[in-house]
Amino acid sequence: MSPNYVIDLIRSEAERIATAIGKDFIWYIFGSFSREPKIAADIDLLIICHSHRQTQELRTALSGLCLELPIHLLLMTTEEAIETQFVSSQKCYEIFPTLRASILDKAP
Amino acid sequence: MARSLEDTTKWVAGILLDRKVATEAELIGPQLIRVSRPKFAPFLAAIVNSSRVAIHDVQPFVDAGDAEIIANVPKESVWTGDAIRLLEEQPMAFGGIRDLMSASADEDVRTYVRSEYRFVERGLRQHDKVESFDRENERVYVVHRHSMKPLSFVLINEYELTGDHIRTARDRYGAFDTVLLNNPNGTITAGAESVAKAMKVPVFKWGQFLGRLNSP
Repeated sequence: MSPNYVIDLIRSEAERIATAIGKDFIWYIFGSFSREPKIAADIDLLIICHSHRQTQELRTALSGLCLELPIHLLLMTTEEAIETQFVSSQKCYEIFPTLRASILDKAP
Repeated sequence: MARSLEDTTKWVAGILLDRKVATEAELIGPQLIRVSRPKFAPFLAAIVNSSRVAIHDVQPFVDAGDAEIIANVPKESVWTGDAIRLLEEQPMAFGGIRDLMSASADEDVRTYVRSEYRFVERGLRQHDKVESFDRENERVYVVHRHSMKPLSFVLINEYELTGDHIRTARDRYGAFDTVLLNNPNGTITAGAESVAKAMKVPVFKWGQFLGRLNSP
């Protein structure tokens, strides 16, 4: 399972969900997969959305992807993300809607 | 989109080699890996891929008896209490890929227990108000206390406890009386506090939780 395959798969799910539910979400990768994607045992995925209702919709929409990949899913509201400063403190890489190239630089 | 179980097992074997956990990781079946390691004897690991690991997922490996650990690949998943009890009786270890990697460093893989579960279970056994405890599933325990009603809790190990964590715990693991945030560096977001209040499930960290066990 190459890092490029993983990113492509997650981004295609993000596209699907943006069409089905809405475009309000920002998707990030963090943790071991963002540092050493080739040997990571799991994939830390953060999605920031506006409300708790949206987090529930997202969980349901992502159940197939979470069975396909060993994803540790972290869903935060915008308020929680601001409160914790999670994106900066954990050095999260945005992968959707914008794909930051640096995540793929680490792939073979 | 779905990968075959054999492809998933091959991927796990590759991770064990890439992480240098294993010197060899040989597929001997679609869901079985023989793991050779530098210090200790080889062992067999069974790989499953389920959002809810129940007895029927593990029974074939229990019947065969040769696997020492069963690892479930999806992280967003739950091990049922029945499956856990069946494996503990053998004994066979259980967990995810990270558990498989950690267990590979133990001479006796069968008796491996994830450190967060070991820590909490030891704490419960040493608490003078605790008579016994049961496990409803991977993350919900029911504590039976001397002269007090039972208290159930869900064990969550996160750096930032969010509202979604608590809602998901309720959906995935069922009812519980309290939340134990077991990460010593973990913080509780305002969103988590709000959801917990709405659900009437107080959130405790470890020291506070030990105190809670003293109260009816």
